[in-house]
Amino acid sequence: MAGLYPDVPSHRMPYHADGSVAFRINGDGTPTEMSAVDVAKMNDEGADYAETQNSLLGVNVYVGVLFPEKRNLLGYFLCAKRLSTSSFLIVSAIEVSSDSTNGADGTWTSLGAPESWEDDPAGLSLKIRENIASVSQLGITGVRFNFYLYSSGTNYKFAINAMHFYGVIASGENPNRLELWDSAGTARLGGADMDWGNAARGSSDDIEFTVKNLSATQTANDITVAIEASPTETTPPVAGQHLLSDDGVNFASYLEIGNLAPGAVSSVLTLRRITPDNAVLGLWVAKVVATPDSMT
Amino acid sequence: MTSVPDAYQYIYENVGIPTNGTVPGSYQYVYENVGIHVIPASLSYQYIYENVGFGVYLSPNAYQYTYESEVLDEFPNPKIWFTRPGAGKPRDGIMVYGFGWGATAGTYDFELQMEIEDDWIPLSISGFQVVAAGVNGYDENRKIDVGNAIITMQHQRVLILIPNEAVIPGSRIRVKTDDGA
Repeated sequence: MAGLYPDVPSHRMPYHADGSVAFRINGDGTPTEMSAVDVAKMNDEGADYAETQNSLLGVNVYVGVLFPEKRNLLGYFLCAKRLSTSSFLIVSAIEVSSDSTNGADGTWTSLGAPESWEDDPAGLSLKIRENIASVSQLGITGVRFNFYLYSSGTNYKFAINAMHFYGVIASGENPNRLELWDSAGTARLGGADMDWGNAARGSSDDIEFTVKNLSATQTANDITVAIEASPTETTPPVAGQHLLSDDGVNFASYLEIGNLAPGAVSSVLTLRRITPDNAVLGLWVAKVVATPDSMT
Repeated sequence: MTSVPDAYQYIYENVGIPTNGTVPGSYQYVYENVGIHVIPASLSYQYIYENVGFGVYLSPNAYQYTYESEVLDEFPNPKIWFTRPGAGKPRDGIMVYGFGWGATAGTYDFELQMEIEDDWIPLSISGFQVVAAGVNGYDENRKIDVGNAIITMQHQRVLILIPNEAVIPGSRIRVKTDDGA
């Protein structure tokens, strides 16, 4: 356990950026791809939200994600809220699919009512760490929540404040890609291996890691390693409180580490946290991303 | 009541519609189903069926989330990042850079020590400074550039003198603070 809060159960899925598609199905059964703005709101840590469209009362509405490859889903967090005090919202089921192409077709298997979900975004930064539900669904390509809205008013919308998924890409899927590995270059970093735990104001710490080219046949060209902010930021920004280095001495906001041959591991890189005296108290999230310009 | 000699008989009659009588003509009904005129075409048709799914692409990128369980006001672990210059002779001044030392040297009883003959000897220090973040403190141009002594983010530095007891090829230094507990 890192600091005062439990470790995340697995790798958080950056479905707003990893090729996945988020969809919404209103009461008429027609799937709609959600905008990048709405997807970012659902996969960030703030109380901002993606708003569903008006839908008929008392009908099933779905919101979910289709992944570009098979994944093992191991955890999720959901916060959804009614937008009218004259209505109430229930999440009747979490469902998974391994063949849907648009969120509505294919076979969807209900896992029953969610183990937990939040209906109030107050204190969300704590809830996203404390109330992650466990699940074990291997080799799926889609997950969705089944919502049911009742209302005596006219506002038939509701809000998705946060929808997070945890898990990994299934073995053998999407083989031509990068991963962040430990400093020895022997295994992928765990989902919580870049959890700083409790970070004191006016303190600093380092974590070493490497970049692994998983491909057996393709070279990863012109790799950039950078720190991405969460869409919900603070001042000074959380991402800005981190630096990267490939020599452990000189640091910058990003690194260009060149090419990695098939199966190769980079030199040891260092992530440095510098939490200033005026850092805002609380729980924060950022992420490190390694991006090849191409795979050839 | 009185009887009368009259006799009554009801008469019943069915008044039909008069006809025009028989005619010599002959009638035959003609039945017809008028269809739409079709023209056989020489074209060939094949229906195309399509299920338009969402476009998804495989990403080669690697992501790793970083978490801060909580930013707190608590005792920080002190760190030394680098010294500048990296080497010197006894009585030379060396600037030591790092973070987590406290607002003043007295906040956490800051002490720098040098390892000489298996003992950690306290070094005399001067010029303890907390340097505030610069213009590019936390933006995309933030950096620690040792060669040019540029640190855009908040940090601390202190000047030490290499003691006369220092020996070739050199000695390690470390930082020690006390949380006052």
